[in-house]
Amino acid sequence: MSVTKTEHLSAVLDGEAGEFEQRRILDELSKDDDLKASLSCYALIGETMRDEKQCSIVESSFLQGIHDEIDAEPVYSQVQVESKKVDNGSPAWARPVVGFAMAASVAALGIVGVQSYMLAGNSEPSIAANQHVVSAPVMTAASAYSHPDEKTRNLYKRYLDSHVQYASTTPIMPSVRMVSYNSNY
Amino acid sequence: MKKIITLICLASLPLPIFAADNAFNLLNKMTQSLSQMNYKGTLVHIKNNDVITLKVSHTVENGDEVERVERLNKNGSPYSRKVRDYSLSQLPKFDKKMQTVYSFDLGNIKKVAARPCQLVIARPKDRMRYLQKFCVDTKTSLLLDYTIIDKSHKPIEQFIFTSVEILSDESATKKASADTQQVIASNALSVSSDDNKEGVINVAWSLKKTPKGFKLRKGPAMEGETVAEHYILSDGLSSVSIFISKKVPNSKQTSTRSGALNVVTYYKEKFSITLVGAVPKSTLKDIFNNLQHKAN
Repeated sequence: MSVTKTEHLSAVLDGEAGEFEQRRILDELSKDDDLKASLSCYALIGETMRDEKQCSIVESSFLQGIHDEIDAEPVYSQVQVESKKVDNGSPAWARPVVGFAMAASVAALGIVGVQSYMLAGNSEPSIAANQHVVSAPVMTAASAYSHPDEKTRNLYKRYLDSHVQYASTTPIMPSVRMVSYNSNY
Repeated sequence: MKKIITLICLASLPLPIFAADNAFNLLNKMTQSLSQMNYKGTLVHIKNNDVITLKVSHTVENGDEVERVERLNKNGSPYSRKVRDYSLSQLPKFDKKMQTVYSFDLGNIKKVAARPCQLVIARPKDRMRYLQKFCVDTKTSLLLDYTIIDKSHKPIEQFIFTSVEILSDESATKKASADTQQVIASNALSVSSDDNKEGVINVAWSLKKTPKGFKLRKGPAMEGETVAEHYILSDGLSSVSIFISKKVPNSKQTSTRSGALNVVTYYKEKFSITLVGAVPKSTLKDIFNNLQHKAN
């Protein structure tokens, strides 16, 4: 086993490695038994140190909070993606065509100006309908999640215990999840 | 000429059918080994940003399974559990019906905990569940490595043995006897194994549409400070628990995640509905959206 691998493993455990590096190390872990032994040792050392400082609990919930915040954000990103699609979706060759179409539209507006003015009242609902389509996915109060408080976490532990006992299909010792989950808080 | 046609027909039979059959057989053997074998070892559980090292043992004594899980270098007593009441019935049972929602493939032979193991992949056919990878010991059919991979192809939870020892029946029995004092018996309530009528939870609640591949059954009601009805949706490899209780005033919608496991609480009318499962959060939301109260 090379020194580089262990350095990368250490970086992964310290949360200093990039995503690509993390995946590479996980791949390596499945092939390299020495590296697995190192992982056990490093994890053990890390946990011992974190125990002494009592900071692993804070770190876990802190990161959990970030994950939850990110999970609660999809609506904003959806709107942005949609607007990007509109901006970037048309190829370069289409720009002159679009320009021509716009010029033609202006001319057409000039011709039917009076009629448009008369029908302005009727056109409003369609604009409103378009706006409604864009604003349809706007986050409602129902889609916002809070981080569970202590009472809720205790209730979740009971639910999880019941789930592990009666519903879990995890093939590898369902109890492991209980131990890990309990140690998160 | 007939022989040639027969040969062509045989050659044109899709190889994935054989691969899927082999994968099924191996996974079924794995299920038996997990419940019937005596073993102990060091298990690393990787989830979120945590790497947790655990000392685990599994023994069978007089038909009772005993799991003992101890987190190394962590305060608190070891976690032990007699699992006879539920484990055998809850371990995944692999049957051909699961192919409607998963495709099964055999992968490479790898080495885990210095033992050769065969990779088996259960790939979901929709986005309602996660991809699961199993690495099964080629000699004992024991599961040595289990990884759950999300929709963006990232491993979100992994259980991997770094060392494992297969125990003889005699040493396992001795160990189980020594641990009897610490064993916590599982909840004595029995679980109904009968599947409910399609989509119907009880008189008051029903599912407008049961997610594809999932079957519904009732779990034991939770007693104590919070009384909750427990319902289980399972496709054999992924499962979701639905807990329905009375809403407490001023409650907020909450959610949390631990590896592949998502827990979300929603509210409908005067009820609090918590969904727990190793499935994407969007699946939990879909299930909740399909829940309807008969009073409507």
